[in-house]
Amino acid sequence: MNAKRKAELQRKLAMAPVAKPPAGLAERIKNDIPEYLRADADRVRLTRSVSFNMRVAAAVLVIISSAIGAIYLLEPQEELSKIATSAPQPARAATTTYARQTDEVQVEITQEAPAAPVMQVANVTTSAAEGRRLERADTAAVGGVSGGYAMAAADSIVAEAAPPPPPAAPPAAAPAPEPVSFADTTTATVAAEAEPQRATARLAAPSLVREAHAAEVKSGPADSVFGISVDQGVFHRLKETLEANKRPTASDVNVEAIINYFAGAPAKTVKRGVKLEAEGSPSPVEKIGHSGYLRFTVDTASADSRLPVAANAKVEIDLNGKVVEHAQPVGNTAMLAHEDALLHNLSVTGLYELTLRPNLRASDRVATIRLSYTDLTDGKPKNLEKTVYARDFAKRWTTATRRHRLASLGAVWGQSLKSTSPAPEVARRAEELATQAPEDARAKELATAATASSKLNSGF
Amino acid sequence: MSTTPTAWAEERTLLEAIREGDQAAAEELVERTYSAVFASIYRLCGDSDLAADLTQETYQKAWGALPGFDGRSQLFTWLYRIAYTTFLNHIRRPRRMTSLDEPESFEVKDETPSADEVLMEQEEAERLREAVMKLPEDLRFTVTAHFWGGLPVKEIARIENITTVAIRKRLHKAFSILESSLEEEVP
Repeated sequence: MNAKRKAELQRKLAMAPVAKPPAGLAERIKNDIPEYLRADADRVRLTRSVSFNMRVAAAVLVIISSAIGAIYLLEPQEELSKIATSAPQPARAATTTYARQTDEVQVEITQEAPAAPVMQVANVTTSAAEGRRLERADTAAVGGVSGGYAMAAADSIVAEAAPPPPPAAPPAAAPAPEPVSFADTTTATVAAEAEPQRATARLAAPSLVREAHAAEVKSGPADSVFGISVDQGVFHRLKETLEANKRPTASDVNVEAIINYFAGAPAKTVKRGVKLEAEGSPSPVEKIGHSGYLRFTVDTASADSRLPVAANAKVEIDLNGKVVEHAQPVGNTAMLAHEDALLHNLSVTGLYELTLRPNLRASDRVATIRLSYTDLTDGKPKNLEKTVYARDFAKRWTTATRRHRLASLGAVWGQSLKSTSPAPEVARRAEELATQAPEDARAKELATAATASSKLNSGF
Repeated sequence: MSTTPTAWAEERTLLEAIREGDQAAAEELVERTYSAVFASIYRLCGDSDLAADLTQETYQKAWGALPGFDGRSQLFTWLYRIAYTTFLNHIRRPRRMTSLDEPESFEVKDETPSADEVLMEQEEAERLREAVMKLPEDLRFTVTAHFWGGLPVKEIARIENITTVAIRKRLHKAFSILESSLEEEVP
């Protein structure tokens, strides 16, 4: 290659076209800045220091146990024979003879006493009940939509404090009285029924896996997750009706299923476990007041297997009553159900239409979405949490993620179809989305369907 | 990206503030770097929307990886590395396809030249991008980091743990491959 060609190539490379960043990109990035940057750094330091200390402690333990073992082996046989003779004697007599024997007798007493584990289980059950009471009180105070109970605190107490009880352990002590002010009794029942199953699962992870797998085998492909319809056929049936130039009946329009069809799979494949997304945005179409959409999406790991990846999953939506004036689940998701098992390759999206109060600060918390579940790979309880702030609802709708835009636009379209009111703005927005990413077939489908329904509604 | 000692010192101060949990410092970092990160990714993928999404993803990863950043390279170099990996991960994803064979056209907004000239320039730029994307991994990273990420040879050598001479050799080799592949495509 001669110098001229090289220079020409360098010039071309350096002159590669550059586009300006889209408006709002900086804000999107800033919104993702974790609140506790320092805590993250501290956590890393702490993890490193703890792991170092653990290694040191393990080494010390190995040395001590080796030393004790060596001393024991090197002891004179005479003393050993004395210990052997005195072992069957009553404990009280043994204490007067050898200090060493006293230790052994004490160990035996502890092993034989059945009272200690039972006491611990009883205490833990009380703690769990207290945890449930506290959590319900919190949820009730919010006065918004409640879909479950965050049992994280109680769960971790059980996992850490309770040793595996004997198989025939008596049932736990009488449950604590239910709070009288709790608003959502139906969901309370769901959680209460689920609680014994969870207790079993915590104590025996393999049986949990079997139960979860059995649930999966029974249920087959799910049409609803957390009580939210994810039926992919709904949109196709609507599409056929519209293509036949007919108006679908209101009962055919399942808005939840439409939302889930358009929210689709995650942009980035989930490699393992469960992922929670939460996002807020203004409405895609002009509405009176400060209204917007809050979305949460749960995605599970992508795999060839259809076996469960998590069990005992529940979602809780915690709305800030000081910021949210009104909240309405889009579709029929009045209450979110508990899921016994979450399968692989699953995506479920829930959407709430919110009306926010005026004069908010950007940093005001609007909602916190919590997902708790038991990870079937290690049998441990996991908790994921995402928070959405007022600033998310102050941004332009076009700066929201593509998934959120499609889901919220699908929701507005579904609602307009149900109420037979024309929504030309939806068709225009969907066309924009389709033009931006021609490879995205769903945006095009939404644009076509919205245009068709709009014509029907306006009488063309 | 500036490499002056003052800029370096400023960068260190900014990093320390972020590590102390200063949100404003983190926002300052975003303001200083996001345009350059976006431009680098845009040159890699040629799609404005996708570049924006990947830029956002780059910073999400960066916040998580920040405690592990040892400060041996410049902050932008480190960010560029994350951005580049994010882009590679994206094109390797099975679900969302960004085909290198059928890319979108670049959004060049220049009203002065004629439409034909703009089209020709776009096509030429696109051919070059495709050829760069077909380079072997080490050469591709070196070329894109140097020309599209604006990283000096010294910085690339630092993060690649090789000498500057080796980087220059890579660039030379990449030019030879690019030249032959561009010549092959000309009808």
